[in-house]
Amino acid sequence: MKTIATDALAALDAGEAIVVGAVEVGSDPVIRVWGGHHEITFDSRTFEPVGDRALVQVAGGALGGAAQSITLTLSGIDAETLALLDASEVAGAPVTLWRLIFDKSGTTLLDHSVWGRGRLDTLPREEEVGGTATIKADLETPAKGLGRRGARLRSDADQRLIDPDDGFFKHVSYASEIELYWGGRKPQRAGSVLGGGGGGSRGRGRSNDRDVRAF
Amino acid sequence: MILTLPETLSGIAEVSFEIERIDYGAPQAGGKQGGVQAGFPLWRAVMQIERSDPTSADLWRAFAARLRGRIRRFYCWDTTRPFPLDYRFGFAGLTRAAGGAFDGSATSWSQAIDSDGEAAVTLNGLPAGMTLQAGDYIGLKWDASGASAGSYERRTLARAVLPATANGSGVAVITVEPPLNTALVPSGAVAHLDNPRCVMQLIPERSDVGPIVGPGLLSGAKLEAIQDLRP
Repeated sequence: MKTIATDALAALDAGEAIVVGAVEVGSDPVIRVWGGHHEITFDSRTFEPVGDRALVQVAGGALGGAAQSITLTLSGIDAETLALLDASEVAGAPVTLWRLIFDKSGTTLLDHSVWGRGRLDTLPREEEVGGTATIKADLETPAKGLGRRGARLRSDADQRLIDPDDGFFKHVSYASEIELYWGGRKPQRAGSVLGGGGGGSRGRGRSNDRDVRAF
Repeated sequence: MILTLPETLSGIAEVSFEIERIDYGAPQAGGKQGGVQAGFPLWRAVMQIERSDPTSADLWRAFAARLRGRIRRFYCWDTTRPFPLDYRFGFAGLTRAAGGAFDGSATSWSQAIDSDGEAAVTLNGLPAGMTLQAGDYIGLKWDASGASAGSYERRTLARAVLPATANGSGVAVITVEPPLNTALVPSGAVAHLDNPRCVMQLIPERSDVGPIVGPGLLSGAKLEAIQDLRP
């Protein structure tokens, strides 16, 4: 749950908040930019100004965004954001988005809260002749990352790869994976769509559905 | 190098010099206009130049060329209000309340935001009884870090939205829009009423200099620019 300061909530409720986004990319060097016009320090971090309203758009448009990836559009010409392309360890770098809420005069910072976290996935650069130059930063949020398959299983064999003497899983059978649908709709199969056809009993179908899935 | 608008005989036919704010509205069926504002306000200028004489045409075309698209910045101002309305010919002969000639700049300034979010800028060192009208501008200028003193390449503007009068000590409290960002504008910045300007950059895709027709006349031009606000 995001804890937003009372004053900021009141400003949002009154429709008089000025909202600005800030981004930290944990690459080397760490890149911190925000959408204002002057340097700002909060959470013991100092952010460089890029005066970019698009940062706000992302932060503002990412409501409930934990379940989806976030695309940040940054200026392709600002020295501060261009550094992203030259930075090392950019792939998978942790990214944190803040939403800063200012009062209606834009002079008092009422609240800053982490609006999203993720890891940098792709960094496509778009340059349109006679148009705009942008860097898009695709962030994979934790929920998005749940869908990623790893190569390891919680099996005795894999555990012994980590430590040959570790027999923690030795009595665990090689478990097949059963997919869980956390609050989502179970994907339809041909059998259910076509009225239970396909010739197999439901019981058999279920057992055949099992597949080994790493995590 | 920051350019300045050319002084032309034909002048500028239409000027729109306004504050640009970007809202993300969330209007509700109940009538409430919710939403948030994205980022901080900036000044935006749209200048329409109508058919102008050959000399002015040359100046405008030269200016547009010198801007090099987005590359160069220029000082821009509300050409309808280079000086306060009541002092449109300048401040010659005016003296500060504390003595000394008044050159248009305040000796010091400060800003207070009240509970309604109204920004009140206090200017000190004005002539006693000096009047400012809605629509007059207060310019703020300061030096960029590392720049030579007095170059004043950092500028911004605030527009008076209510009339104000300096008291006997030459202190005036003026309600302005947009509120000045005191985290950006240093307290040592010079507040001035003469030729208040801000630094702008052209938006080339929305600007166009028209063709030359007849005996060197410019058939029209439109220049649109947005404030370039830097620390």
